[in-house]
Amino acid sequence: MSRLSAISLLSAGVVVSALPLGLPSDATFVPPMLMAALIYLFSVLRPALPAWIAFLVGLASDVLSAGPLGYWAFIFLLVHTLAVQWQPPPGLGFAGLWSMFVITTAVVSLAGWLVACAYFFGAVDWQPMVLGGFSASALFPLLAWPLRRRLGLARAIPVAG
Amino acid sequence: MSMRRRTRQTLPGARAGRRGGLLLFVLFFASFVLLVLSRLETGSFRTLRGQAADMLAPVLETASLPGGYLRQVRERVSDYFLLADELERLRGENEELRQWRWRAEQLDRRLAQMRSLLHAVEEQALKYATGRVIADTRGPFVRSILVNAGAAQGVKTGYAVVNGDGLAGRTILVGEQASRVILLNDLNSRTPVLVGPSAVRAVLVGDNSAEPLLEFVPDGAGLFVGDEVITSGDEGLLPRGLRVGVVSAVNGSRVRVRTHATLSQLDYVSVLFFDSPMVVAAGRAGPAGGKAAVSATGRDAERERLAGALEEDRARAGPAAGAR
Repeated sequence: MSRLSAISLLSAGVVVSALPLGLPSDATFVPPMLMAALIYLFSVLRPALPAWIAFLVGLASDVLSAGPLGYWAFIFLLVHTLAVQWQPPPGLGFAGLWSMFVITTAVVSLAGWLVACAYFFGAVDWQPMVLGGFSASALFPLLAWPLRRRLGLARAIPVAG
Repeated sequence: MSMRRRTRQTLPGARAGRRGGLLLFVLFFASFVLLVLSRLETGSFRTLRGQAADMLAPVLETASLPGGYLRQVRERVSDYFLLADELERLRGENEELRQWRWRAEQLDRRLAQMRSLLHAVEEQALKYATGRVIADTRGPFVRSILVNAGAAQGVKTGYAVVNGDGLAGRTILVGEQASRVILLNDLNSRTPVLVGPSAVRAVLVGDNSAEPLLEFVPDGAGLFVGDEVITSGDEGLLPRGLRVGVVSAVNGSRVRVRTHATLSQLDYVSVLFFDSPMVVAAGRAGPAGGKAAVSATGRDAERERLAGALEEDRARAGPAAGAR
């Protein structure tokens, strides 16, 4: 998948996740976490998604959601950084990649919750984040399926900047 | 020689790595700076966000059309299967509503007589603009929607937003063609309300959950599940008597309210043009009251004269029917 198609897919994802989908209030974290899964996939593929695109996609999400500006930019950037830095153990194939994504999601959700608490000077509801993380982890194989051939090559990808 | 060659080979990689690391640092730093600026929320920051929402409104409006169409199809299919039951229910409801209409007309006449006897000050007739929800928010702390009605339609910041069921929120950012609406369950939402038959004063506070909380309830106030919650109109920000919801749970001092409007599934909403009586009064006081307030009031008065009695009737019969 070329960089242009990755950018197009991510841009479409940002717009769709901002649309009134009629999700219950606890599920509001699901669409952006699915976006995080896409960013993770594009970051482990070769050529890896540049960090500034992950940042801009997050910034666009912030503008569309009217949330704190920089929040999703930070989250998506963190996902990209962890995807690039933490390579899955060799020989484990897709299971290894999935496990690494689950760990990344856990770290990102925790970081997201801490940033949200710091932003609001108090504890914010953690359940939507956990639900978003679980949903993204569960749906990760579905998102990765169209990229399975490319992911076979991804195991040998060195650390990208 | 071989050492020198190896050094030459590794140098571009190391440089690229350093550049990548620097870029990451700059981007993370930019995120934090934006978060801090967002927290401070200066006036120019708000204006920029309003303009961005305005610019993106046509894109979102177009993108939301297929979703709206699909929702309509789904509703039509489910309506088709429930047609017989629905018809029966509507017939019964229609009968009941006819009686209510007759009673309401009678009460309206009596109220008008009483008001004229008391020389009571006339309340503002509620006018409104209806718009479609074109974007929803996602995130742990914001519950807001973007509506395709803005300053061009007469919307201003702070106006109440309702749907057919009741109050949904109020406008916080107004662009030319679109407005951002903070919902009742948003963490930053504070709405003065009256609760129950004894009209206990409280403040409805959002906490991002589906059902907002009641706070600042006076000690000893008896609140019960099923008590109706309406806007109090305190501070003159919202009209008095808009339907909000019912008390759904009372656990000690924690009282939750289930809003009449389903906040996660808003489709079409109406923005009620209600200017704070204080702003209107300031406008009437003359230029000292502020030019903006004067001109706004002047425009409203002009519009009112033109709209006439028909407009008032429409306003009363429309979504403001939710207003008592």
